Amino acid sequence: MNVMKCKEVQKLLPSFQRGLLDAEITKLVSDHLASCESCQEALALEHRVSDRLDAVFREEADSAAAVDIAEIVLKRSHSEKVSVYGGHTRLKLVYRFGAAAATVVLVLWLSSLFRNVSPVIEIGRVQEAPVRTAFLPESPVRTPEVRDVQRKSTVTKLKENVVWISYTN
Amino acid sequence: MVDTERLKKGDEEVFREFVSETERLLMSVSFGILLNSEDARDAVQDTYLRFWRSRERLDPNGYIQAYLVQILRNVCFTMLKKRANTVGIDEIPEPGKKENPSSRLGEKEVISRAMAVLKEKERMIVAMIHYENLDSTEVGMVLGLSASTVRSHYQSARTRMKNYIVRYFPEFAR
Repeated sequence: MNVMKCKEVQKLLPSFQRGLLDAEITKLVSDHLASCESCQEALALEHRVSDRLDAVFREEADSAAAVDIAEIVLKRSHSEKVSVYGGHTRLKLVYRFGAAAATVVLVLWLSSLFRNVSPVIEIGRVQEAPVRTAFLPESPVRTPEVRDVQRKSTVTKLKENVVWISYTN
Repeated sequence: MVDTERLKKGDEEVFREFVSETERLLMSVSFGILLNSEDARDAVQDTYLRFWRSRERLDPNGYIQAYLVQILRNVCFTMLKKRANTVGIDEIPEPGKKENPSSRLGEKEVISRAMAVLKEKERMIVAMIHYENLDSTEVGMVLGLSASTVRSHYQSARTRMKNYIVRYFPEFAR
């Protein structure tokens, strides 16, 4: 009743050939093989593929065996330790601390810089007229401080964004 | 069995023993995934180094081989990703030249090409079975699979390899 078809058998051949199947299935496969020529041929091919795989891996194993992996790994690990405890990391820590401190200073400096910014409007360029009116762009957030860089002047604020400048001399 | 407690304390003698017990397994997996001896060796070394560095966190109840193989797989994947960005000059096909796979390739090359057709898990299984001579239960323990799953992966892998060889290297299969 438990007769296997060629297709089923051939699917199992790689495992059969490596001896990976249970005893029961192994028996079924060998029974089938005894009387089936095409499956025998298929098995021969599987053997060839398997032998070549073995050969390739054996070559790899031989070349790998020549290297003392444990020794290399321990050496690498020791050299790492030296650098970890031998100042390398401490140096790195100093760098890190320095960078952090520099960032804090930079932030403080920038924020102080911006705090001091008050809207100063400088009216430059010589103009001979005794008085002149400056129209400030858009009403500034804070009351602007207006001064004329060219000459002494007094500045009177007329409106939110208009100032009267009269030159004192 | 390896003495996990002594390994955790950094006993180098135990580590040496442990490496000699497991290096073939790791080489098989590594070569199976990377299909290149040099890369495979580098990956194995990196794996042991990572393992040694983190030895204090070792779980004495865990299956240490499986843990090791897990580290190795991560190392190999990182390498594969890197390799994907750098293709070797001899791997770039000449334009206008039709590849003729059966032209005078050595057995090793044919097998490597057939292995390259497989999925990564299949390659690992084939490698462990042929390189380390493990049976399906042992492979299953390392990969966290059942023996029958390992067998079915192995069968489909070998079938794919065979089909590839028959198709592209018919003289090889004769």
